[in-house]
Amino acid sequence: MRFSPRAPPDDQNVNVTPVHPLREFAVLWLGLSGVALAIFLLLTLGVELAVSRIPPALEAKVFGGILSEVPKFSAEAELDPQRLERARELLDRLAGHWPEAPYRFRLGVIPGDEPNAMAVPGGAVLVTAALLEGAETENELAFVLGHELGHFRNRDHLRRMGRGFVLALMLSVLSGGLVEPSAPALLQLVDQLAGRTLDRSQELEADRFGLTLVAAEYGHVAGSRRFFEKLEETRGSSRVEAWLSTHPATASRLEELERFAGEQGLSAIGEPAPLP
Amino acid sequence: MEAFVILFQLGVPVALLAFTYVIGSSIEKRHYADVLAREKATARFPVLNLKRLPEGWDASDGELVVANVVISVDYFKRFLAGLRGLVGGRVTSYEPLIDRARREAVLRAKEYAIARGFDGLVNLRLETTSLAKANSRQDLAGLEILAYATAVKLR
Amino acid sequence: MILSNIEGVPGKRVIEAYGVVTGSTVRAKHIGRDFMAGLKNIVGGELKGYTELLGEARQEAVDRMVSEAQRLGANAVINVRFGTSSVAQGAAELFAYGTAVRVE
Repeated sequence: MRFSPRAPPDDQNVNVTPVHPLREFAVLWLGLSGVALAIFLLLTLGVELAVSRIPPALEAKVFGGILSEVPKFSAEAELDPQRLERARELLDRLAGHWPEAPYRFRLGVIPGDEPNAMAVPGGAVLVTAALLEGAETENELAFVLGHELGHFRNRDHLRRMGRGFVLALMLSVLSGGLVEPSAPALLQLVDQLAGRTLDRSQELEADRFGLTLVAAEYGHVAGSRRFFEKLEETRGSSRVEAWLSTHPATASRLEELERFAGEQGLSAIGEPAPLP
Repeated sequence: MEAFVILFQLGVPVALLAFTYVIGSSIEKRHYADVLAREKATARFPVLNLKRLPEGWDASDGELVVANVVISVDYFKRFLAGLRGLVGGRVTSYEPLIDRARREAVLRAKEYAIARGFDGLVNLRLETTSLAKANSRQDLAGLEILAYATAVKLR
Repeated sequence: MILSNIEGVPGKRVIEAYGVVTGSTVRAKHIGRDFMAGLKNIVGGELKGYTELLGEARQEAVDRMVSEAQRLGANAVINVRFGTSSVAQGAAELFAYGTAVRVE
């Protein structure tokens, strides 16, 4: 056997596929995103179907535990105890006007600089300390609580959670598995996005229910619009903000409420009750 | 305000991808040019993976030569591999990496032998080992390519 | 192209040796196979999907090695060896190498 060294010509490397990495990236990423979008839409549909089928009794059993977790991150200590007590009692009174309510509702307070309220699966209504402190009249607070009860009625909170879960899964897959599905940063991001997808009409629906509860409790709806007026003052509802935020523009909400009140024959005349 | 937070959270990985792609591909180009040049320079030096010697070779001396290279994978390549892991198929982003590393290891063995006055390498063997990161079972810290052979001196 | 993993080809004479040729490939399995493998890991048994996958990959590595040998003008590759390692979660690298020779 002789040895004569030979080298293959440089022009082609048999061990490397001649594809430009950027092209590979584009093809893979777009392809996967397309698939992910399709799956997301399917799953969202699935969530819608499931939500209407989950009986509230089951939900209360599964998520009831959350209520006991609330005190852990609660900001109750900083609040005026009388006001907090009145708020709790107010929630019970309002729920009383909804006899078919399938949950036992409880109020929890979370720290926060901006007035905000959330409906959480299981029957917990979470409000920020700022909301309770900033409320001027009982009627104002009643409207906000009633709005959250409206969300419970439409099972919106379940929708939000379901969509959030689906989104988290999708984003984790899209990132090539580099982001864990349980990463807290991802969950936060996803909750915000899921909140945005909630229909504007769902918010308006909750508004309407809130107004009916307030009317049932007080006999009138005076003072409830004060909440929106304050929102307008502090934020000056710009169009861009409205698009970005979860709630429809304040002005259009007010309009809608007034139209609804007129339709239902709800009186706007009355003395709003003060808060302690 | 919230929109900016979200844009930022998405923008960081994208920026990282772009950055590592640019840097990674420039490092790769340079290394390939270097490897090709060295291969040309050492082309006459015999490397065989046989044990038996070619005719006319009268070996007077033999010594084991071991050369290794450890390479790491950049963020862009890893991301592409992650996407491939969903779809299946050839992980084309890793191919040039492994190819370069293997050629580099063989070159190092060659150059080591040449520097010590040997005349050829026989019974070349190649091994690959993957090193996992300490904190994660599946994350790759690096890939080691080992090339070893017996260097012979001819009379 | 004749392949053998001994130092020659039985019944033929090795005339000329050209050098070492290598062929390598990196293959990943898709998420469906992953899932099936996960299930199989519970009950045990051969992972047919993986066997197939790695078999294909090995064939590709050999094909690449052969095409490089062809470009050198060889008609056989002797002393063929294989190597494998896992390079990423669910991706394996396979390579084959041997000496490209001319036999008759």
